[in-house]
Amino acid sequence: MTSLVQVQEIEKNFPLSGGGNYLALQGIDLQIQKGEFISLIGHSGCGKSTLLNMIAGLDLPTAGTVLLDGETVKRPGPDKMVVFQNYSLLPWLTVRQNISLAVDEVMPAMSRQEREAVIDEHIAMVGLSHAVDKLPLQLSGGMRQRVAIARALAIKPKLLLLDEPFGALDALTRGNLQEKLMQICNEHQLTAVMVTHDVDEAVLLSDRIVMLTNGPGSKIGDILTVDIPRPRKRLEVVHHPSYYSLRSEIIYFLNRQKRVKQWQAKPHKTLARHGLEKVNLDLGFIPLAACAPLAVAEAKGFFSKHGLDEVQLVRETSWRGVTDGLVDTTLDAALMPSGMPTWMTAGGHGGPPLPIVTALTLSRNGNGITLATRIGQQGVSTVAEYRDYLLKTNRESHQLGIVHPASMHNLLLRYWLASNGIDPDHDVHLQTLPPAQMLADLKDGSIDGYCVGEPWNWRAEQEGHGFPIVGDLDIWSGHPGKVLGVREDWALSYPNTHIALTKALLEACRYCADPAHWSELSELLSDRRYLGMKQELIRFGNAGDGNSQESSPHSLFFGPAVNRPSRSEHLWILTQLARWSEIPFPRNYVEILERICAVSVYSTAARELGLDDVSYQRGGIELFDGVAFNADDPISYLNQLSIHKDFCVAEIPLKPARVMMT
Amino acid sequence: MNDRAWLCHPWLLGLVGLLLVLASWSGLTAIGLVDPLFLPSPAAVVAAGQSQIEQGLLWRDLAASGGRVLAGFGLSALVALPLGIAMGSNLVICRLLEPLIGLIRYMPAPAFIPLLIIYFGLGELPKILLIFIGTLFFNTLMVMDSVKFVPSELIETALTLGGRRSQLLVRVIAPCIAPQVIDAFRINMAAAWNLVIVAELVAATEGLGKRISLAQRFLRTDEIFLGLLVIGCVGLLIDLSFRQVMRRTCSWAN
Repeated sequence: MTSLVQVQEIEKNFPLSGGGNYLALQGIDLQIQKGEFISLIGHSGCGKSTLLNMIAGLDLPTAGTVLLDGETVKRPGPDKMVVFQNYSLLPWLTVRQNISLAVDEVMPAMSRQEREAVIDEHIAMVGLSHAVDKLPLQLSGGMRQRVAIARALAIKPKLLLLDEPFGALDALTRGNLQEKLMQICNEHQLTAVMVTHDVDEAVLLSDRIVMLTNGPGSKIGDILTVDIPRPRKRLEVVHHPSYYSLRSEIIYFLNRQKRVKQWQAKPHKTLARHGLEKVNLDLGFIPLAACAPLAVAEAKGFFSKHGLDEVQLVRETSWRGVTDGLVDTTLDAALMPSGMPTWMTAGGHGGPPLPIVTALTLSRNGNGITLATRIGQQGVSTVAEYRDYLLKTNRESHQLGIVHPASMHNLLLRYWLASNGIDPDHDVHLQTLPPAQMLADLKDGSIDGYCVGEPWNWRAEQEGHGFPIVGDLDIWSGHPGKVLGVREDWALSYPNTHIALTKALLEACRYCADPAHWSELSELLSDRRYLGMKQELIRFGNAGDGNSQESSPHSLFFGPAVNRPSRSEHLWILTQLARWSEIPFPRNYVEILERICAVSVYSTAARELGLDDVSYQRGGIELFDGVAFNADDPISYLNQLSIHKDFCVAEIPLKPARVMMT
Repeated sequence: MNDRAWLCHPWLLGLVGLLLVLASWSGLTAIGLVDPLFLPSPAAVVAAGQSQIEQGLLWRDLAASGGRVLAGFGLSALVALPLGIAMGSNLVICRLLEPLIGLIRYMPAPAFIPLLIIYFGLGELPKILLIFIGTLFFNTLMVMDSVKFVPSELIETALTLGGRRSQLLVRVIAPCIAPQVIDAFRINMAAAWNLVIVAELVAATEGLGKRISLAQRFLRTDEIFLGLLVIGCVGLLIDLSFRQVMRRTCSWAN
């Protein structure tokens, strides 16, 4: 089937009054099928209205073509009617006259009576039969927009174009009109393109959402397909499993665009100083208690102590922001889940494999699995009871939240579920959510529970929305939590900076490990630059009030065999990522581990800090179910695990290590 | 609130202001504080009016001045309307003419009087041309602006509906700018009325301005007052009738 609209390699240049050109859009390619509803979303100035105008023929592209039904769009016409934000009704004509002007103009072949019938039908369709003889100024904004929609539909366009149609309306009116438009589109199989800046509106109305990057030279960043079945109802749509992930996908995209714009706006020259290749670093993190070493290194001056004068901590809302920041090099280094270096190196993020190096494990433990209070009220307090509960209610979908496929939360949760006879891909559905959204989702019942780092388990318990079903200490005590990750080419370009950064953070880790500092840490992290929540909710100890010196440490930040990157742990992570088909198991795993674990950087840093006596020896890896991990034979280990997906073994083609291109 | 409700009638306070001035004028002249040669009493002005009406002078003056204004301003509106629309809708024409008009607009129309007399003598033509010159450029620019402020969505919608240029002009632009154009004419009419008096002060055989200048020569301040009052009243009437036209034809714009 050919598309109704084909946008082919569109480019739009605007001449500037001061000479020169502004490249608004470039390389826009879009096929729109008959009956499809498409939304264009992006920040203001991204050229979404320009694109719409070019489809409408109100503006012509400087390169490329727009085809409607196979014909090039050269001028505006009634086959592609536009509805504007400001209604664009002729103010001296009544509702009826406005519509009849359009109908008379476009359908001269029809008889008078036929035209009258069309007009009446469409006025009734938008529910304005009582106001036919009113002037636009006598109507409310919502009613005026209904007239504009009725006028657009009355002339039976092949394509309906909407330019922020509900942008000027109040929330209630907007909601009603969205439903009305949806209903009309369904009944009449309309093809529509809508420009909007409202994320919820886009998800509610669209079949596909086209997200545009920032100008100049805006491109299509991504196209999301909305798989929510029609007919849709606003209140039902929000409970569809895809709704929140689509929504957060769009919000993530928009935020990312904003970040890139801010990054582009400031100068980023490499500043070399104190014998370091680069002292101005952007370090990514997401708000979790495990970001304590970064916060401490900043607040206590460990960065500048080691010569890193200009370190900026960049707060991302999700791990995906960290991944993207490393991919597009807007971040120098980042706090990341311990599975992320192997995951990205193996290409788990979807792009070409990007070798990531870790020289430091920043934290261990600090995670937990929380179930919603409403599940506890069903008598669930152990995993066996949860399994029974899942069996009893297997008609409902059960969502569990994880923060990232490569995080220990995902791997530990899956391991724990699988070892307890719950298939994490069939019996439940694991959903990736930003940590800060978990609690909200737990509250409104869209997820059963989650596995996430502190403070989100403790906070759910404190606020009465969830209860801990199992702590990470009971799954794998001392498991790696967060690590420091940098691109391999970055590490090669800035070797001394890498060591200095490792030193600063290792020292910060030592500071964080001291129970005497925990209250101070809670206070520091409660700042809105980091977590931005009440300090009582951020705890580092396990028992009592959480921060007393007597309580046993939950998160490990420093100590024997805590911080040195461990090849066997990363190998275990590789087996688990392969087990759940996040990545194939790499045949060249030895090479990958060699390149990921920058043990020599850690050793140099530790030696220069005078920490030679730190023991490197960790025991073998064995989780709560007693299955020992044999690092010499990972494939047998994988086969031995009871529940797994059909994993494959493949060579991961890695480019040779080289310094960064500048 | 209730006892103040009478204050709310839109005309009442205006009337009070008028009466106040009239009363102090009568009072001032009645007690003989001012030489009646400088400030004639209201009664003297009314008497002067009566005598002029009896002689038929007032009607002749009114007709003469009104005719000039009508001719001059009508000509100006007739030229300004198409010119303004052309400038407002066509960038080339606008760029060609706007600086020129901007320049001439700042030349005071009365400064053209000597030239007009040299070219056209002392007849009716120079007076009409003075009004024409004095209002044409303001009218043109105001019409042009009103065309530029036609919402672009209206034009785009009309184009999308398949409208051609001529239809656009007749069915969208013309009705859309009508209220602003009427308002512009109302404002510039005041200038036309000013200019006709100036022209008549310089050289004329009849007209309200001529009457004032004659009265000055004979120290007839009562006739001067009469002239001024008549000019004011006529201006007010014109203004009100423009408003009425606006209200009748462009009710949607209110």
